[in-house]
Amino acid sequence: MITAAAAAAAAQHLPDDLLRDILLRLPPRSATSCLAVCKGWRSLVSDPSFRRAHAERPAGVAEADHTFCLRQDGDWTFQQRLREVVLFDSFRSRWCRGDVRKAPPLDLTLIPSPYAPAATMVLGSWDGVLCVERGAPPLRRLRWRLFGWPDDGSGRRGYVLWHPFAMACATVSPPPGRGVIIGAYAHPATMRFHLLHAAGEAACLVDPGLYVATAFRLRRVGDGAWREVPLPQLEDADARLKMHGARSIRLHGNLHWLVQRGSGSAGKLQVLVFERARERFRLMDAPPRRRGEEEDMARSRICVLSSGKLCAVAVARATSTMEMWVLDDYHHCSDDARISGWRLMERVSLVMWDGDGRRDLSRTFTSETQVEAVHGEVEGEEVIVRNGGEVDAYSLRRGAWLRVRGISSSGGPVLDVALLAHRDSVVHHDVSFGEASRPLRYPDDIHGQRLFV
Amino acid sequence: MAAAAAEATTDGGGKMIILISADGKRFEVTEAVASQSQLISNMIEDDCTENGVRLPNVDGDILTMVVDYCNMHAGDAAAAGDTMKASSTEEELKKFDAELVQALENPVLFKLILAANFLNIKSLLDMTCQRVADMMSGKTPEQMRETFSIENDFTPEEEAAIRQENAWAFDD
Repeated sequence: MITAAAAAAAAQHLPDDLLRDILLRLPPRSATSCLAVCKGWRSLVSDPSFRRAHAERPAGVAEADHTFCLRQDGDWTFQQRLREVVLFDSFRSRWCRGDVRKAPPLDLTLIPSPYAPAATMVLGSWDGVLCVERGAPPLRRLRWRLFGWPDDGSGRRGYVLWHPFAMACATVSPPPGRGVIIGAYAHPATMRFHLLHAAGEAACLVDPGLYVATAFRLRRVGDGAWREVPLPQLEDADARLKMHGARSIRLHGNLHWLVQRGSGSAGKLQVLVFERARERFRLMDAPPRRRGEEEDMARSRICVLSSGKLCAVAVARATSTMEMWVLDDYHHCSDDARISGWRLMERVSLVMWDGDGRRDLSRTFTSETQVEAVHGEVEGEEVIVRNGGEVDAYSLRRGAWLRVRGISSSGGPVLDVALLAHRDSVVHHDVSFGEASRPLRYPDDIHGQRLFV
Repeated sequence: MAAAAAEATTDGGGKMIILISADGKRFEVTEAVASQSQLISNMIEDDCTENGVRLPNVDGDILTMVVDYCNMHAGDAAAAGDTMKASSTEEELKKFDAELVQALENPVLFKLILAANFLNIKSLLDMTCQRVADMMSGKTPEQMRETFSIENDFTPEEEAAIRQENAWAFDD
């Protein structure tokens, strides 16, 4: 029989480093609750190093489905109305484990717009803030080709920022001309939210989703206007960078994108880095290519492993494989371009056998395929590949693929799906939209799902 | 000598190692099973496991759980080559792990964490710490104190101030 005294002794005997490890695993709200437990816990949780570690924890992978749902419209009427919703479902992370749809989705309702449907695209999640583009054409792949996008002249375009954790939202109007949001961040000192925009054109018709950026702009949400941030110094005159839109990777407080110099298919792959604190861009080496192999932007991605290392993924159709390169020494990579710090970690076969028979992911991998790395508690480190509604996960520990799911199952017609690396932390509560901040309201609470407007 | 060595060898050819708990219980495990503990793995490398490994701060009942866990997970790495086999064992492992930690209550769970930490078995440490975090998640400070038998050493004023400063986390 174990007495209460023994239990107390056990609790007190857990050394600080183990207690810290446990508290770091808590969702932000619970971690903050720990401040009021006792003095020891308060000093542990309020320590700046704890807050930093909590904010830098590996992100979870979430799926944001833009779809329609029938919702009852308020308490006073039984009339149901078709509403546009964004279902946000964090399906693989420390805090929400399990499969797609097992975790209750966090619904973010858009302003009901039955007359102008399908005008929404989930761009990304940065520092706990979900960024959605309003007024986008219905299909992601068509966004540059039809409708003279993005200048539809209706004045309805804009970026909606949701901060469900702080119960705030904001709307930001885009800069004039064609372009795309490529990333966002909270300033490390002021916690003010900033948006990064790239002006440019679609790269080519064969590879939808690839853009050629010609100018970068930055905007502090809440005040100020869009201002230009100079491109990194390039040796040649052609200051054009081909990139994958909003697929920014957060590491060591910086944002990273895989880019290709020049507008043609030739050109060297590099990693574009944006330093938040200094508000400047620089370029870093991408993994080297073997002689004779073409640099292939459409089939290359970067992600972050839970070890805090940058990882580059390159898919080769000829061999049906995926190479995973790891940058071991991040901080010494940028200074000397002659030494590549990249190491080939693993070559993974993309051929798998399951209920559907033989599948080869290298055949279906296009410029629109989304790749994220996540560290789940049960699964360990995984690389998640989302392709046309199918989600597959490669477990690095087991060295095997697992089909997470086949086709989307949110009930309604899914107009757009985005795979996002999403994280909440004690720090993110402080993220602010300044003057632009509006409170988020809960208009509904149906079947345990919270709906925000 | 030769006979004893042959006796302590499994059909897989692995050497056997004796683990001895604080209360003197002995556990015979294969080298592959034991080396999931980084501590023992280092000892094996240094060749100092000959007379058994004494674990003065791990009780017999806790070591039973650790050994069960290690036995279960020893096949993990070996089966990884075969995709079909690996996925079936993966299911069993998940079930085993879930049952192991779900059944544990606080004092035993903490002892298991300390043992996993001492023996340096990362996956077990990870799993047990996560279990504690899951137990804490969504709890109020009062409930956390109760679960962990912690005494509240704040004055009512201090506690009220903390709650007010972080109202977003406390109001519901």
